[in-house]
Amino acid sequence: MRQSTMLRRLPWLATTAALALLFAPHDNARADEKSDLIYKIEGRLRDAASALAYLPGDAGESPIDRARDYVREAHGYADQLRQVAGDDSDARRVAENFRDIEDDWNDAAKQLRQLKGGQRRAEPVATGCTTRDEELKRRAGDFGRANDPDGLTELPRLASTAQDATRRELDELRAHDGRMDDYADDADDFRGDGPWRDLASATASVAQQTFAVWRKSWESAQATCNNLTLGVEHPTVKQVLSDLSNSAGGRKAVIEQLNRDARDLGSTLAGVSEDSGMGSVERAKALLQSIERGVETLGRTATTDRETKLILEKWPAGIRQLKEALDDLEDLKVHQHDMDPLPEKCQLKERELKDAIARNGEDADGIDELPKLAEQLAEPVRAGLAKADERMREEEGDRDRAKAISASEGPWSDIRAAEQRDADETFRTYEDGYKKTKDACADIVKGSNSNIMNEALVNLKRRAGETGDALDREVATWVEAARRTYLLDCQAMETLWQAYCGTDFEPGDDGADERVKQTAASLQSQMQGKMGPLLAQLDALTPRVQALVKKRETRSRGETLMAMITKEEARLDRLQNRGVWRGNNNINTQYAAQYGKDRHAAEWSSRSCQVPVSRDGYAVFPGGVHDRPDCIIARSGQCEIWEFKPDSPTGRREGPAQAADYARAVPAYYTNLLRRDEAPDALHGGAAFMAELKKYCFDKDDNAIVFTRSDVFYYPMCDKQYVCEQ
Amino acid sequence: MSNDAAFVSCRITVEHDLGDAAAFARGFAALLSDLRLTPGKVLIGKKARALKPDLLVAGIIDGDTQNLAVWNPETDGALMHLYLRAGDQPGIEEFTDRGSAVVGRASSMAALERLVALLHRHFGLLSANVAGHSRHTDAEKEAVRQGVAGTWPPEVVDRIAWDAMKWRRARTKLIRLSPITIIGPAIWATLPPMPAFDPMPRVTDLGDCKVLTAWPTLCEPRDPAFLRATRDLRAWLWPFTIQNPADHVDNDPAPVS
Repeated sequence: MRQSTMLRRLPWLATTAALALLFAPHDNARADEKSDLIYKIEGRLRDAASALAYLPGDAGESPIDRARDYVREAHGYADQLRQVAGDDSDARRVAENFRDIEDDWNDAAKQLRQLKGGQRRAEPVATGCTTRDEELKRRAGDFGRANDPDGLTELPRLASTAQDATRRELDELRAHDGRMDDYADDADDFRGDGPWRDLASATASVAQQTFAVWRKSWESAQATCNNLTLGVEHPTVKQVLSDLSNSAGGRKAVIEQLNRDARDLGSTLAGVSEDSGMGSVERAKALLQSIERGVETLGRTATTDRETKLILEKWPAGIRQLKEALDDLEDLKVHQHDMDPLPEKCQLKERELKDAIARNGEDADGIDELPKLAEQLAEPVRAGLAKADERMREEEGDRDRAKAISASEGPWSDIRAAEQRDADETFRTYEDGYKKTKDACADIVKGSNSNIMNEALVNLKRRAGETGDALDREVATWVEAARRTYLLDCQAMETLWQAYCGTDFEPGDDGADERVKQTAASLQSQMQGKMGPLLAQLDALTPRVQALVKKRETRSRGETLMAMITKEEARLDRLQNRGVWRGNNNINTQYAAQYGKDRHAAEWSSRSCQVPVSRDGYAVFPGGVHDRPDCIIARSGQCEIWEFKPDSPTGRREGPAQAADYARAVPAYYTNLLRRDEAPDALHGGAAFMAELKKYCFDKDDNAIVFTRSDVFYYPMCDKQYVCEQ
Repeated sequence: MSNDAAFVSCRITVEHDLGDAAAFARGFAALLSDLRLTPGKVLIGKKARALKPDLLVAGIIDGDTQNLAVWNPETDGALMHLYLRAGDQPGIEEFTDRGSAVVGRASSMAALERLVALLHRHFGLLSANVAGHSRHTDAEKEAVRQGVAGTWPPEVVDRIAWDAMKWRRARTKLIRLSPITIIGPAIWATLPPMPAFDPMPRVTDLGDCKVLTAWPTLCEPRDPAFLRATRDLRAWLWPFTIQNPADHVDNDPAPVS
């Protein structure tokens, strides 16, 4: 139903008119009751508005409490009105709207309480400023009257302390003003028509008045504190400083202090690289600050003798340069000894690996287990070295900036030489540590390919072959032969490739599928044929192993050998007489898995993929069903994610889903790390890959890592012939 | 509208994740036949199975299913990649392009409109771009964008890769003017009143979405005649699109002399 503009703006008017018009004579009693209740609601809300009007002049919040009591009374009448409203929709709306508007009023009342509570927040600050100002003026007066040159250094310090405290308090008041403004705005947002109109208007009015009282008090505090915010420009301080520095004794004292500070600065800087902590850098910074203050003091003198003039002309540039250089020297100093403990850590890891090799002795299990340990030990070293490389680049930058000082006037020549020498020496400590770390970690960082590991593996393999127990060797040989019966060898892979891809279809031939089936069946049959004789060998082998199990001293070894035999025997028993092998044993599945593995490795190499970090490695990116992309690249003009898949109908449907999963999970992973300023782990490319991502794939607008392509490469199953390498 | 193209591509971008999964799943299952997706297969997670309505409904309702693919395995059969929900991996939602893709016969246009209306009810439609294609593989590339098998001219690959890269912009802007562009209420509200064009596009309602039909036949997205005739309309619409450089009127194909 459409309403006129006036009625939409003033629903209360519409309600009252409707009530007046709609009540028929037979309903007079009910109509009177409704009118009476509405009258009472209007009255209580007017009372609330009147009570609230006292708020600005009141010492506390009691006008808000009184207004709240009137509103609650009106609430009671609104409840009664709801009960007698019957099917009179207008009366019902009046009663039901009441609660919503009352909620809004309660919110506005909370804002008014906040306003009232914060109205006098500036007064203690103003009082504090007055006290501080009087104290500062008293101290300045004392120095001035005694013509005490100490005032030249002491007064700026006192003025600066007072300035800091005052600014802090005024900043807090500024923040308070922002909050007060919000309270006033929020209270002013309260809207209500009909009987609420007066209360809405009163709320807005007292909010503004209370806010105005606060503003006035704040402005007054600012005026009271103004001189203190000027620091050494405080009129009294400035005058006394001027008087003191214009006296010859005062100026002389300042210059002497400056020269003393400069000498101290030079010798302090000379000890930075030898300092075991940060004390010398901090002291150098404090001395530089003192020199800066002294030059400022001297700058206020009216008399300009030659020495004063020279200092004022030459020293500020040196101060500015050294300030910046000290920050860089500080960085150098912070990281100076970062590398020191690392060579030993790498040596410890090497020792740990050597101990593990020694503990393993001649156990052939070590051939599998020790390389895993070597990789575990190498992992944190790789991450640490990547960080060290990054830090090395930063150190070089810090050193160059720390040396960038050109001032050479008077004591600045020594200061400059000390700073430059120190930057070099501090850098050199890091550099030495870096080189030692690189040397000490050079082998362990190679993980399973380290020299220690390779040497141990050569020995283990040689011992297992040459000096191992004859029975161990026989069991190992039997197990190896058993595995060869059900795993496709290279020749079989070639044969299957030919069946899949190598023969042209000729009219009258069986279909390609049939040819593959026949080839697979033939291969399986050949493999099964080798299982019987192997199983027969166990008649002789098993009793010898059982004999070992019976003896206490050889039981453990015997049980290990028996477990190896039992596992393979069960598998051969199962596969020997089965029709078509299933699951992972299925000939075609084995072929596809091996072919796919080889193709993945070939694609990974040819595209120079950066993640996964090795051709047979993987990196997990959580977020979707598919979480292991085959290839991620971050190079100039190439930010890409690739999946490699065999070209098949189902593969073509899976491909887009995989590409879509990677398109969101991979950038999400790296962006989250980027925003936390963290590097990915080594499996995800480490700090070096993150640097490439930042360089080539960072989108400033979205503050995110963005890939220009997430796609799938479908490799045909026949485009590369499977050939056994000779 | 007469259809010259054999296939239709439709890329649909939506506002939020699936709300009432059961109601949507039932509605979607009822459309499969009209969309010619049956007899078909469905890929939920990593497992492809024969498409059965109860399996599909259960897959859509399952809160772990983030997207699924449905296709008719016959040559050049219809297919759909359907977005459902972002999943609960922290931070992943920010990087989720809520896009679905449909490829079908041009004759299934009516069913496609019903599908868009269904998606709007349950996901809130931002926009949908519909175009015609003579080759199934072109339609698939246009709609699915990534992971599609085949080869296309570099300008097609680059244009679509750009769309895929700038998917964030499609949260508030149209992707481009297509022969048929369906505009959700949020984006429609950002467009100023449309001036007169010759030919004037037809605007019809699809629920509270608008269907902007800019060309009398369902043609290719870069059909030269379509681009020539809609040059002014596209120039007017340009500020309200993701502004793929390939779509700028300055990059229209030169007229054949």
